[in-house]
Amino acid sequence: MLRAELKAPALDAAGQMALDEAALLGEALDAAIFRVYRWIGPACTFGYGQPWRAARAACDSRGWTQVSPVRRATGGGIVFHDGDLTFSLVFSWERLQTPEAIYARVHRAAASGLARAGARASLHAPNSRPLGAAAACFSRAEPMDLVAEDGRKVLGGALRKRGARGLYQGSLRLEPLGIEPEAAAESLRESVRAEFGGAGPEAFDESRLAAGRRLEPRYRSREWNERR
Amino acid sequence: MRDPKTLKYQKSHEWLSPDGFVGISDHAQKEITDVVFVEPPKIGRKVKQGEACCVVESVKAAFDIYAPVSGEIVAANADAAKDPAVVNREPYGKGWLFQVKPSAEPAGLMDAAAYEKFLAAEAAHGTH
Repeated sequence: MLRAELKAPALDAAGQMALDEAALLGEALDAAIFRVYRWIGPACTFGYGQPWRAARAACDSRGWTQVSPVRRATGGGIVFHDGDLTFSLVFSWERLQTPEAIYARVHRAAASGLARAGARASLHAPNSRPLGAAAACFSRAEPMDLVAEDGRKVLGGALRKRGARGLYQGSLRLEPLGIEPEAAAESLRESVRAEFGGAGPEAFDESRLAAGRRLEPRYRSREWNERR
Repeated sequence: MRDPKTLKYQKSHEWLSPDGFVGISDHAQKEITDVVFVEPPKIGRKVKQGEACCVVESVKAAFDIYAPVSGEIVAANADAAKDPAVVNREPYGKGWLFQVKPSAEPAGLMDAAAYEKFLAAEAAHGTH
């Protein structure tokens, strides 16, 4: 599989979610699309099926009263984007597979890249799967998340399967790894390139950005974010 | 519970009963794993075959569910929305998702035997 790594401008949560969805809905997929986010400020996103009130309360409890949580198209829990390294991957997902299989593939590649950068993390493989879903992404490690040597969760992801394509959105916590953002981003780029095939980075062209902007109003709307 | 042998199947793993009920196959519920959220379509919505109209979410992954036939949504399973795990427990029974009043004959659906062959071929094809 070919891969294009796309560089996009700094955006807020609605802009990031819209750009990822535009990539997911985009032209025929002959390349996986990998992107490291650049944020314009603190942001909060929450899972597709989660109640908005839980995300709002979580923001308020940490004093983020001015931050509007944005519902993702992907599943998963509440994520505070304040110093994490956020990235996404749009990939071919033709055959129905368990989410764990997808996470294992992406996170194993990430662990390999982080190891090359001197940061050690491993796949979380508990003896039994915890029941239900955690409200906050980093409140506990799920199977196939990455955990640091001290057991702290460092990488969690969320997925959406739409047709034969998948969207992965990941959040990497850097503090437990003792690694700088640039080094972490480079390690992820390299590891994804190794796993999904390599092509050179390219910038988001205007048509891609425009496709994202067309989807932005929905991610800013109460109808979307407060739908439940 | 419906007999899986009496159902028609779509390649995206939805089943369609003769009376228009729609759900996901046992294979699909196993791959999706523990369902924690179901968002059925609104009653009265007109859908086309192959149109995404419902979402099923497991832990950390959301899956689009596609209409296996064109028509109007005439029922949505509120019980599955309240108790999403029923989709895992009874994919052919109480875990149905919605009901369509067909407006046209569905095209390209597989009977149970063909669906089994399709699953075998997919498994043989391996991972992507």
